[in-house]
Amino acid sequence: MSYTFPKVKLNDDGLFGPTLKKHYYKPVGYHNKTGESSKHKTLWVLKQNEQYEPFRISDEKAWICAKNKGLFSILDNGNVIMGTNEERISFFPNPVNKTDPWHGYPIDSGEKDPSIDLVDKWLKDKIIDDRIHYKILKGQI
Amino acid sequence: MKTIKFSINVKAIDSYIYGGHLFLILKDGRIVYTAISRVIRKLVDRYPDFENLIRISFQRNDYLSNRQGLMILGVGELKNVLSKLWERATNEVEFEIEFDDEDFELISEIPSMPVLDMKLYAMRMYLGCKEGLYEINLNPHENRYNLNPSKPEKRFDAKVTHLNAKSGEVIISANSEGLFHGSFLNDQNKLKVINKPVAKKSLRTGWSSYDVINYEEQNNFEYFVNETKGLETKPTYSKFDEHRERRRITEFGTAKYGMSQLLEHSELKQEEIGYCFNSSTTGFFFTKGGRFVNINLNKEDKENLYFTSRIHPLPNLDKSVNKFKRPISTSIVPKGCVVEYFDKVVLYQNSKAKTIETNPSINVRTYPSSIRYRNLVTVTKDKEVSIHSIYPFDENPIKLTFDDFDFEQKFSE
Repeated sequence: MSYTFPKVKLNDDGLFGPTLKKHYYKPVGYHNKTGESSKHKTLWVLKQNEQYEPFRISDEKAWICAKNKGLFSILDNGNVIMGTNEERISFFPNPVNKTDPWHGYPIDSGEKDPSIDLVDKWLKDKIIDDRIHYKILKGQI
Repeated sequence: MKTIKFSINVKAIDSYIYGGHLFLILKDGRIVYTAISRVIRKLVDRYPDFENLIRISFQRNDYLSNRQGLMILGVGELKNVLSKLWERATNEVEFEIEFDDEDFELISEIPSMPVLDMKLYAMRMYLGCKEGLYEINLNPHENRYNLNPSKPEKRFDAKVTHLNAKSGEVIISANSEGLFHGSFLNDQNKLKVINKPVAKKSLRTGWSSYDVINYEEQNNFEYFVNETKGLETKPTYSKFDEHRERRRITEFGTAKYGMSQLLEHSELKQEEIGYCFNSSTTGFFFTKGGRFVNINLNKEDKENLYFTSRIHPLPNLDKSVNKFKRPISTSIVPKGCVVEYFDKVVLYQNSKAKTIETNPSINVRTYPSSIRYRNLVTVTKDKEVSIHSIYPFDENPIKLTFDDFDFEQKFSE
């Protein structure tokens, strides 16, 4: 079954949000298009309005990773593909200033591994099952 | 030809066949094992019509490809009968058995769940976990097949994502903590890991004879050349179903090659690659454009290694889609490989891609260095462990008869 993304629109400032924590999301060009400036960047397959959903959930549920200084997110036990290389996890680095909008991109747990505490929390809260817990800790998805 | 498969209904997160035993990490955290002969007995009791095929497929797979087997099956008619029986077994029977607590022997509770990788080697079990690496000696005092496992002892303190072992060395991938190695060939007979990493990052490793290929990312690696020396006394551990080891590694990483350096003679460029892995002499590459290819590694001159210019295309799972389908894990089998995808497991062999599992798996293992189990694949799933036996012959129809068989060529090697 495919994931149903809530309908959201950009506001007048070109931002999505706010979340319950009053945070905004701003899609950035170099993670959304192919070209020279995106050569070494991971690219979303989610549309810009869909990218807000993993950010919103992660922000509101405080899926914080102190080790990587940001938020990680996953949807529907990893069944939602977020990036062009079949990435199933996304990362939203802490903004420089607290009032700045957030941005984010798809990641591979092997290249940017979420903290063990966060992955264990996802399992405990039934965000992921045993299999996906194992795959993330092993850096396979 | 499809694989012959049977499933054991058990809740496990990992399974491993070694030295005549099936080892399991159960979901409740117990490390257990049972004799393969016991599993086979259960299967045969339930499916007596297939007794010999079951035994030769799963218990003594080596009989099909050793010299005696090749001689008998060199008679085309005999091989055709075997292939028909194989086909019948794969098409008509879903082999399945139940296993209860009393079927297993308990080794221990695992100190830290989940186990992220396990490696059985030299009558030892290595368990890579979130909190580190544990060693279990399977038979500390006796040089026999029956097991008397020790309790797990911790040997290393970082999260372990992948393990490898050969020639007295255990290779430990600890992702962003780095690549580590150590040996148990010391006066204490216990693994001693060298604390200084030999690479800053390691997701997994693969062997290329005695050298190690370290995968820092799923699509990037570094090649480590290792120094070895011949063993004067042959180790006794390798008789337990491992190919006899004749050398040990004495120095790790005396030279290194980057991926782009090794691909200098190839049309394939590093930036095209989405995922890669290796066998001893070959590199396998999934490109971002959806191709799956292999390239031979030329190792004639140890100071000038390179992938050859010829690219061998491998079959596409879905010919209509030119899109990168990302592997989750990969394993080597004779003349091919097994690729685990997010939702299926595929065997690539004999220029064909065959889906052998249509559901997601927790992990997939093959046993290329085993004598008896080199054609087996174990797949651990949510509620069962499935063991596949790969048809070990070329699938082209056999027209040879006994008189046609070229003994001189076959057995003079």
